[in-house]
Amino acid sequence: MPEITLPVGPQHPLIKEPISILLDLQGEYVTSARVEIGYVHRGLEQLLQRRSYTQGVAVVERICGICSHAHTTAYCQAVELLLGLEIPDRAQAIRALLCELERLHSHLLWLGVLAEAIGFTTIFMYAWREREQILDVMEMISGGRIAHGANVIGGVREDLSPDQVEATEDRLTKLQQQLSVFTDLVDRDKSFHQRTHGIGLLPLELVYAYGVVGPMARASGATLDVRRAAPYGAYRHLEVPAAISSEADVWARAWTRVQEMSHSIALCKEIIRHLPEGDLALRVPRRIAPAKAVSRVEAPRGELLYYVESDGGEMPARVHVRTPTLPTLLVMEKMLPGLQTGDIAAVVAGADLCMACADR
Amino acid sequence: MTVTDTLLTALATVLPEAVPDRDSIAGGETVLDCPPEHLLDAFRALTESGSTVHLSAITALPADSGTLLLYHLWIDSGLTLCVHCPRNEAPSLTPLLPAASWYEREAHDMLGIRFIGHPNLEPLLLAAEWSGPPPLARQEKTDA
Amino acid sequence: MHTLAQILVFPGAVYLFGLGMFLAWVDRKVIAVFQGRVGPPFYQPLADVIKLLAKEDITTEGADVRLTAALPIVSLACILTAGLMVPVGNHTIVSFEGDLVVALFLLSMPTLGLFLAGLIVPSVYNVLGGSRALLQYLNYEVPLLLGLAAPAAFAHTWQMSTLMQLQNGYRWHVVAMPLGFLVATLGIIGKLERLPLDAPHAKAEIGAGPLTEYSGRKLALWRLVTWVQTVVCINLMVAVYTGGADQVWANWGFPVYAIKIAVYMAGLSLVGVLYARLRVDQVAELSWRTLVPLGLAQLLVALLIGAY
Repeated sequence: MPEITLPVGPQHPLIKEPISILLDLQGEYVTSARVEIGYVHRGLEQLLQRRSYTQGVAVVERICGICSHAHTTAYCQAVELLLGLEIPDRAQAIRALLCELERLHSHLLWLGVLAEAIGFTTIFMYAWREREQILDVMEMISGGRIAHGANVIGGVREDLSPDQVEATEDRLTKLQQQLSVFTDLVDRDKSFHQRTHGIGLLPLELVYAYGVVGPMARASGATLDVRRAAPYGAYRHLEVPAAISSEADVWARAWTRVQEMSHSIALCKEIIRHLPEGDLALRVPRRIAPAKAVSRVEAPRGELLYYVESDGGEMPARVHVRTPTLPTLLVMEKMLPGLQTGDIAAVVAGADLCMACADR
Repeated sequence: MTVTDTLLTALATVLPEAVPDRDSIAGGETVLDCPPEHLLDAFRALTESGSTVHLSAITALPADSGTLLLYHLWIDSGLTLCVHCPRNEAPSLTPLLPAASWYEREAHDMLGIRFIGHPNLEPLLLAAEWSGPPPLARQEKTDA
Repeated sequence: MHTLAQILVFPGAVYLFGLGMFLAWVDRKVIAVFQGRVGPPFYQPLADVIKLLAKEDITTEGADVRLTAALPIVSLACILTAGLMVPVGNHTIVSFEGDLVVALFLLSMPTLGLFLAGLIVPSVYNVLGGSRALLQYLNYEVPLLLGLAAPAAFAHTWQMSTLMQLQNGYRWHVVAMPLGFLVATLGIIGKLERLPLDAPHAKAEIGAGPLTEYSGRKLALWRLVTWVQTVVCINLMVAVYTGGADQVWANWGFPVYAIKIAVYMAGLSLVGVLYARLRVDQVAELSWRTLVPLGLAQLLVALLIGAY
């Protein structure tokens, strides 16, 4: 049997961001995989040390396009911890609302990408069409589809008017109905099952050993969800349901995320129905006394950790970002060997990789 | 939520002088100092206590002498091990916990710290042709 | 002279190219409508060919220039020759006993051409795509042949125009042999490498399969090969199974035939929209575990009914 090296990336129709996955193939089977990242490393941690805390919010927002709000939430939260501030309830609620909307649009994007990877273009078109609804809502609320600029240190920048609240609720109700297409897909579609069931197994021991987080880990049976384990902001008053599967294959990842979408819609509705009154933001000083803080947030892909240290000046002494895609990429090297070439696309697309996050 | 007493007791046998401190890092973290030579023992004590140890991140900071490594763990609540490495090297956690592999490579890239026992300490984020100093290491203040 | 006009224009080359582009548009439009999109304008396939002809034609280092140029031309020649024998409306340029077999043989040449086109370019994606194309060919010729053998056995003839005329308006073969129709249609989908059986050029896995490194004129020719192959295969199926342009409709024969072609094309598009792509081994499984037994059963039934 011939042995060839199939380079998936750095440019490949399958992957949307540059990454190099070198696969050694024996006939139709993968014998070994080697993952290399760093193609979009922009040195953002170093840049953050040379920008004020306020400017840092804009930098951090651009670490990733899909989970930009999670990054700004984590960063602002960390700086607020440095200052020992508790931001107003209304700001917390708006932050949480955007977090959940972002989770929705990220999962819909992921579903479309997975469908495209397994040749199911119809679902790709449907998923991204629904995603447009969410992007429109986010634009209505914050003015931006992807980079919202909604968070400031000390709270949020803009308020939600009652009209916006009503419009959001309408769109969410419509989306809940459309979601049945995707639940049907995951539960009943035979061709989807054929391409995702039993493929790309990630046993729970590997999840723990490699520190995998997010829906990827929850599809294998892990329970870590920062919103439940260490609630932050408005999540301290919300009950977040669990979506945990033990199948550990690509199908389980799809099922977990579709469940999470449904939960997110419910959470959004609950937030906007009980939106507390109050201020939007607190004033914060420009210089921050020496302190350290760790902030954890559940981004769409998993646990996002920010470590921020201040030294009394206007700029942070150190900002360290650990994004949830990093452990997933690491465990890829263990998940890919043994697969058929036809399944590589499903596994790689099903892992919800975000290289911009990983490389920073 | 705080780290359970069982874990702290388990760690106390390995790190007798460490005093758990809940104030130096805001955000609900329990912080313990750990000398580099006891790092692997501390991990073994934690994993043997029965809980699942989740390594969230390894933050590397330049210190006045050498490097300061913060191991951010999650074991039902946040636990940070503070490891001061005066000679800019530390034992690698990767053989015990593969999750550490890329975090250690990144710390090596950014601050030049060497991890003894790491199976493959190649650049993770920096380009292969990078020949400058580690980007986040303390540099001489220029007029830039 | 009359024959030359027939070969070059109608129902020959110009007609086949034109209909090929038209059906390519119908395909994309139907898929777009099912997916909730608008779809391209009717001249899109023509625009694509013109654009490709204007692009730079790069031959990868290590690939034989003449062979890469010759393969699509030879494939196109084979399909056009097969097109001479397939009834278009009521016309057949060339017709003789056994022309169904010859046409099928000629129609298998493009797949071999594609496989070779993949193998001679020293790129991983091309080679993988080429080998998958060959694998798919081995899986799909048999169901296709079985599916087409059933009406031939039923009607005691291998001549396509006779098969068509014998159906005479109300005795369509698809009614008598629905299984054969199904098996042959899936064979056609596999042969044309359409979704859900497009593993040889699975974009997410192996770039564009055997044609990954092709550009410009050669790629334009391969596009035309695909489109004309689609037309000829659909024409064949419509003639053999649904009576082509039945005599019984008299002057309406041609429009009815056109409708049948359009409906069949839309059916192929619909199948492409409904399912995820099958993996190469799943394609083989479908073929040998399901289609071949069904095809054999249908053939047996056709032989028995045909005998009586």
